[in-house]
Amino acid sequence: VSTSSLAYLAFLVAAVLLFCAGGGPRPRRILFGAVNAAFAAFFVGSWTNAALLAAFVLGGYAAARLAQNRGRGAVPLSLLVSVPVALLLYVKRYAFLSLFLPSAALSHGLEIVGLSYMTFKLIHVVVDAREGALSPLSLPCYANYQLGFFTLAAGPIQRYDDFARWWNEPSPAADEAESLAAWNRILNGILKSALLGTLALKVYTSAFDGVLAGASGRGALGRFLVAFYVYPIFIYLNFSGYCDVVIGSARLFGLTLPENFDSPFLARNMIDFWNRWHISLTFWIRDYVFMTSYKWFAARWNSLRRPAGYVLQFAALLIAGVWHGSTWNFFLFGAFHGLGVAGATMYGDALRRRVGADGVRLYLERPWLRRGAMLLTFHYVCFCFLFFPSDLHKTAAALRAVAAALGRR
Amino acid sequence: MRRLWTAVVLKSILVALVLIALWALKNKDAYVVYMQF
Repeated sequence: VSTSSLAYLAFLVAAVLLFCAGGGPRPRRILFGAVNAAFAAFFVGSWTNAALLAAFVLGGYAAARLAQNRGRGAVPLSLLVSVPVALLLYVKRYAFLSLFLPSAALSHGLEIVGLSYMTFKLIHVVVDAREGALSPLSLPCYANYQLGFFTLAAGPIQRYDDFARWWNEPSPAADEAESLAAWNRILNGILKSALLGTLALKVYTSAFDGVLAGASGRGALGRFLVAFYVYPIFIYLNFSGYCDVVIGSARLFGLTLPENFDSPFLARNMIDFWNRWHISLTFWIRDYVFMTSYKWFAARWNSLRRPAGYVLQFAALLIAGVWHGSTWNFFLFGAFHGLGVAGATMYGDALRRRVGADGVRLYLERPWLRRGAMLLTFHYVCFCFLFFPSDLHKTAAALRAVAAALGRR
Repeated sequence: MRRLWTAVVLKSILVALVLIALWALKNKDAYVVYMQF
């Protein structure tokens, strides 16, 4: 079920009406649970997948409970985190697993929509539970946090405490204005993803296929540039449109989801870009990959913490890239983003050493510099997205075709 | 409030037309790319 479909809208209207008629918190919680179970049933496809999903949710809850025990006999956090990560890699059939596992073991039919987003949430809950920084856990709250039908398919990655606050007192959108604003956002999201996103995809596909089909000279370069600029815009329209739909849907239920986008193409460097693009993923990676590894490193080799920070920033973005898929194109996608972010940090540090904090502030306030930095960042982002849409062979073939076409001129 | 009502009604009509058109064209492009990750 796509969130940009009549079926989803019909489901949403029915769910909201039931929820509003629900009365007090307890009936609303039961109704919300039933709605989530019905929505998940659309996706599971088989009893095996349903059993795996149930095991993942129950196992995650058990892991969070185990993580709360920090005394003697506590289960190591590394074990509690690595089991769901291993399951994710196995279910998603990451290519490198073929080095360790027979092909028969990887030709399973297991598939759970949104498993990686659920894994992100599970790791957050387990780590925060170990640190004693989590709201009280309950199985119904945790299960609905994981299976909430707005965020099941592709996030945003909400934090457990935010969901638990709503779960304790669930109530629909407060008034007519709030409901209308929520519907307005849902409709905007559908127009972005289904109308503008689809048109952008058509333009990109036509241009990219034209390059691969051997367009000559200026035509090849022109088509390549269209594909170069339009593809990131398509991804933005597609994913931010989806986010508008789910954030608006949640608002109808009185639930506030985290924002995932903030005008990303206006970013002035790659650090700024990741604070505006897939924000809930950026914050998750910052908290549970970068900060965890940085603290570990700084506690042991404090004098090397600055260069280690650059390397760990690069590694964190590399992991974010590889999360998208285990093929080489996503490795390069992550590596280029990592270089961009680590490079921006190094440049910022060098600038501060040279002219001081006030000097940097004055330097960054120059309008021509801001516009130039935005333009440069946008082009670097477009370059990174060359490695996102298809396998590396296609990208390389397109680049070769452009080079050959220009050479023929 | 009246402007918001107008916007929602007009956008609802446009969305319905777009989704019906996509359905009629059997267009699979309205999927969410990030669902596959």
